[in-house]
Amino acid sequence: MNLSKSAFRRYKVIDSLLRNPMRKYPTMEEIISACMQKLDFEPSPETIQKDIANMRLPHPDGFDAPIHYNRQRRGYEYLDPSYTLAGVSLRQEELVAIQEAVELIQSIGSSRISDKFTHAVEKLLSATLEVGQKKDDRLPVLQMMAPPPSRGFENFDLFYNACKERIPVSFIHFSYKKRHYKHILLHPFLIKEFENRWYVIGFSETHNDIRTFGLDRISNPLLLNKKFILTDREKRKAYQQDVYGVFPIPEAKKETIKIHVSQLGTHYFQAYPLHESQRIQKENYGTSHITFEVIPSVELARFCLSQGYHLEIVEPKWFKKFTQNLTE
Amino acid sequence: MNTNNKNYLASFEVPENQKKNPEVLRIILTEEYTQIDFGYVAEWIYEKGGWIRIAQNTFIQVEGSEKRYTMKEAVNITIAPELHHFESTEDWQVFTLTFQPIPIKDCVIDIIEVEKPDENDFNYYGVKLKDVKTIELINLSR
Repeated sequence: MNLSKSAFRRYKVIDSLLRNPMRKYPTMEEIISACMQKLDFEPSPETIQKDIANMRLPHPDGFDAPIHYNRQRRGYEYLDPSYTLAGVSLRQEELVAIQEAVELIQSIGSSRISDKFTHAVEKLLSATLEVGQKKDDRLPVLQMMAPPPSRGFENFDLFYNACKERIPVSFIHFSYKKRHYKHILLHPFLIKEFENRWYVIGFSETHNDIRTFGLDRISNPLLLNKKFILTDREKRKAYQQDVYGVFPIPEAKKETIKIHVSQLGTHYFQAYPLHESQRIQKENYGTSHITFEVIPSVELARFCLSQGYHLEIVEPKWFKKFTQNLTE
Repeated sequence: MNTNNKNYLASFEVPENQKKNPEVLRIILTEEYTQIDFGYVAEWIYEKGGWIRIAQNTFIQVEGSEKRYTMKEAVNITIAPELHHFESTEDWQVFTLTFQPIPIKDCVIDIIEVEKPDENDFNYYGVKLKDVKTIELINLSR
């Protein structure tokens, strides 16, 4: 829906007239007159007819407005008296809040939002156009990382639907490390973003286990008409909540990871917790022991390495060794 | 396209001596076409990974029949004589060849790029298709 601000303002006028219980069945002349009064502009009957036709259009092109011309009353009406253009009536401060939320979504960047969501955002924007009074040519005051579109992101919608509708997917996967291909039959349950990269996680029939695949390494995904293998709820939850990153170390179970952190590092851990299970025990001079209850992952090991001498893994020993081995 | 037609993901087996680069990765059987997905990994023996291309006259032959199911479309690979050049020996390429539809049944097929091939041509003999109607695809449109 590509909606101009003036068109939406007319829609709002038409909507308010159709919902006015004190003066039902507004005529074309009354609608034009109301537009003149409220918008300082006299639209032609053709414009209003076009507006009504556009409002009637089904989602996503219009608003599904059940507008009907009542020949007996010689005026327009909503066939569904409970219908409103905005769905719900919002107060001014609520509209402002929505406007801010939309700006926040925009700041996240379209590269993180698929076409499917772009439409929803556009519609929300059109519904809040009237509160955008303060808009000027100033640059945004909020900026988040918005990386350029990445390979494989075009399949986001397919995997999103597959997760939501529980549909198995067939695709070709290329391993950068092993440099080989595999045909994968996946029963996906989660799409996850980590450090601006997108991954799909599910039960791989090919591996007979839960696996994570980067969208960038996936080619030609196809939906299958096949019984979906639903991964146990607790396991799904664990992937959502207990893993820092996306690649848990094979066979690893949730356990306590204990690290020793420098004074400087402690400031950052205090400011930016790595995981919701993080607990800090400060020492006398500002260094700390920090624990996490997580399933150890490759990303956690890499993070520890990236901190250099500011961070030392204390427990478990096997994870310390695993991390050291990454450098070899 | 008749949407009542069913499309199948065929199980298949490539004989050991026919496993090569590019690798046959997936075979889809429909009443309108047969689709084969391949994966190629650029090789270190070639400068910058070398190149690939596919002959226009590539076809499938089903064992026991003389009929040739000719190639209709090639995606992500150029048709000879045009070459798809790689940029490095680390490059990789998934490509898809679409052919006239072969019968939707268990059978053995040959995929033939060149009838008298050299080692660089993409020929595969004795690919066994089995349980071809086990897995059905959703909304496959072309």
